[in-house]
Amino acid sequence: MADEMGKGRFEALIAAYGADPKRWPAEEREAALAFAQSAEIDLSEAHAIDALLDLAPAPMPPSELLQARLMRSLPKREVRLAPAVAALAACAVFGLIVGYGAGLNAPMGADVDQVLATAFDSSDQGWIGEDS
Amino acid sequence: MNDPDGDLISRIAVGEAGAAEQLVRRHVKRIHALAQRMLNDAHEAEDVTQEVFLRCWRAAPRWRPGQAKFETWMHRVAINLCYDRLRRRREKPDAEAGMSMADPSLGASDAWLAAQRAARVQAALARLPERQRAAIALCHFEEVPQRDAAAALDVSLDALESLLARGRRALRDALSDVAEDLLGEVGDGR
Repeated sequence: MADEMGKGRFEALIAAYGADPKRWPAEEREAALAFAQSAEIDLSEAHAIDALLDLAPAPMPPSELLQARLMRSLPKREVRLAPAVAALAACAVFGLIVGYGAGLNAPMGADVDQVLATAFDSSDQGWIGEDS
Repeated sequence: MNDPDGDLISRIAVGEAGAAEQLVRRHVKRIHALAQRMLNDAHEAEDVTQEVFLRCWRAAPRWRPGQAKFETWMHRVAINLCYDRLRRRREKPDAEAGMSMADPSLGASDAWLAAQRAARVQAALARLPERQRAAIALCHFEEVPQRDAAAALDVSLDALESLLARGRRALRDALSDVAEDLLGEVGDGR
């Protein structure tokens, strides 16, 4: 498209993009401007349509609420921390299981004295029964 | 291809919230304006804008730089979401209930005339076929470069120019009386 700027191409250009050179394709702008200056081209129709379009009301700006919602939807850093959090959680669960299992195997009530008694060797017996 | 958003996207992909915030600040107005021009409804445009950004967060880790500008992809997502909504409506957009005017308290006759013209232009734009409206929204109102606009619409440059020319001609035909007045003003201005 940028090869040559003839009347046909120039007319196609303003039919699509209007009369304002800032909206023309950058790679054709210089050639189109030069053509416009050298040729008798009536741009009033294109100017009028540009002016029609510019009469359209400006869009409302995005609301504060929308911007707040977008900020709340931002990706959370926790996503990256997920493996570490999962590892910690696994450790905690493992700890609970081990603790619970040990609790099940632990001696209950009257057996405690017996266990304590067997936890010491015979030399301690003398010390324990020192008063007797 | 030099993508001005490339660095932001790679930072968003690794969970940098500040980069995501920057992306929002950089693009929220344009995406919202584009959706509003397409849907003629500011509230629906907000829903579309939110969906576009949610998709950005999801897409960032999978984004392959160098193939297209991220902004072009955002425009395409926004336009496709608008097409979906317009299809769901199964009716012509209601220009009367559309975008609010910048100044609702117009009293003077010139201002009243301007408001009337603005409403008619808005209604005529709303009646354009979706793709012509999208092309005009991107190229005329948002001044998106032609190649990016064509990519966002998934059409060739020739097809983009055809959409634009047909849209502009349709608008001129629908508003020939206003266009004649403007032609006179253009002539007087010389």
